[in-house]
Amino acid sequence: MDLWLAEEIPDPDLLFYRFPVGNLRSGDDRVFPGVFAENKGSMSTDWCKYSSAAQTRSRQGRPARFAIIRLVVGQIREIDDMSVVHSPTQNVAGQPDNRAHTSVFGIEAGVGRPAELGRKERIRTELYRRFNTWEIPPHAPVDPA
Amino acid sequence: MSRLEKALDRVRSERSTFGSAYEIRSPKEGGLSFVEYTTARSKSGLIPITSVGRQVPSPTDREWHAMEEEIIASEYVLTIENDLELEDFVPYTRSTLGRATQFLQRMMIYAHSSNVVGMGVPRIGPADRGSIDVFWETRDRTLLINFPSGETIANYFGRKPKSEISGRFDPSEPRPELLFWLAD
Repeated sequence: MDLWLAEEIPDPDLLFYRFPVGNLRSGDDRVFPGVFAENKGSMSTDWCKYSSAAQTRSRQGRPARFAIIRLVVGQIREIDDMSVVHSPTQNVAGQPDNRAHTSVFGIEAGVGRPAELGRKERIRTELYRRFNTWEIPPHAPVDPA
Repeated sequence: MSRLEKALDRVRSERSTFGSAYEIRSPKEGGLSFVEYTTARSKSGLIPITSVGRQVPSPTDREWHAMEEEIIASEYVLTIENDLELEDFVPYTRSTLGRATQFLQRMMIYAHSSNVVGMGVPRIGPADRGSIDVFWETRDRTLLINFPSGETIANYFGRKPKSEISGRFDPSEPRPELLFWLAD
């Protein structure tokens, strides 16, 4: 199989971000700033060029456990210090191959960045202001495809 | 002297004479109540004769009860599990949640004692690495305060038209500047 190369993602393109429904309050499905968080140094998303929202929801199994938020690449890049990098996973031990995988960097302060009090709260507020609706809401029926 | 300054002056005077005019009780015990003093003049000034507990019959009563409901509802975060099997996952603890909710209570008490109405009730929810968010969102402003797990400080960022605030603080005391920023 050919190696997947990292590609430049255009600003108008979409990313799909998976969030566990179990982290939501019963009876309150609203998005909140805490939804946006890094794991192992970045926020993992899928690029719409290689994945649908439904595929992103199903990628880890048991899709009913997840809801999906749609992010617009250019609107992420508008936020200070944030970047979007296509980072397909292929032949990585312990990880399924995923050509759509895209990393969003910048929620946490990186090395070499000046300290800024309230920085992470500012960035999460900005993300929430731009992306506070679900693409696939919690408890939505699972797409049979 | 403005109405607010007069109110603050009166509260300071009451506190210096009687201590706090409030009692904090658990929600099961009825929540916030005033301690009402009947006073009489003496050579030394006002003295308390008796105290009578009563519910707050004011518009702020609704705000207080809404806050209590939010605090009770926020306990769901203690049941959150690592559904994504994240390496960065840290369990949510009653200690962290308590720092957030106690700070919120202190702010509300300060608001009531200062006759400040309009602080609003925030949403309390989970954030990264076991931290807890307290998030105010009104028509034209947001204020996000994050209480990290295992730390005694809190970080915040707020935005409204022509104004941004950010910083960190010790949440064991109320922050009047945040209150007035929210309510003005």
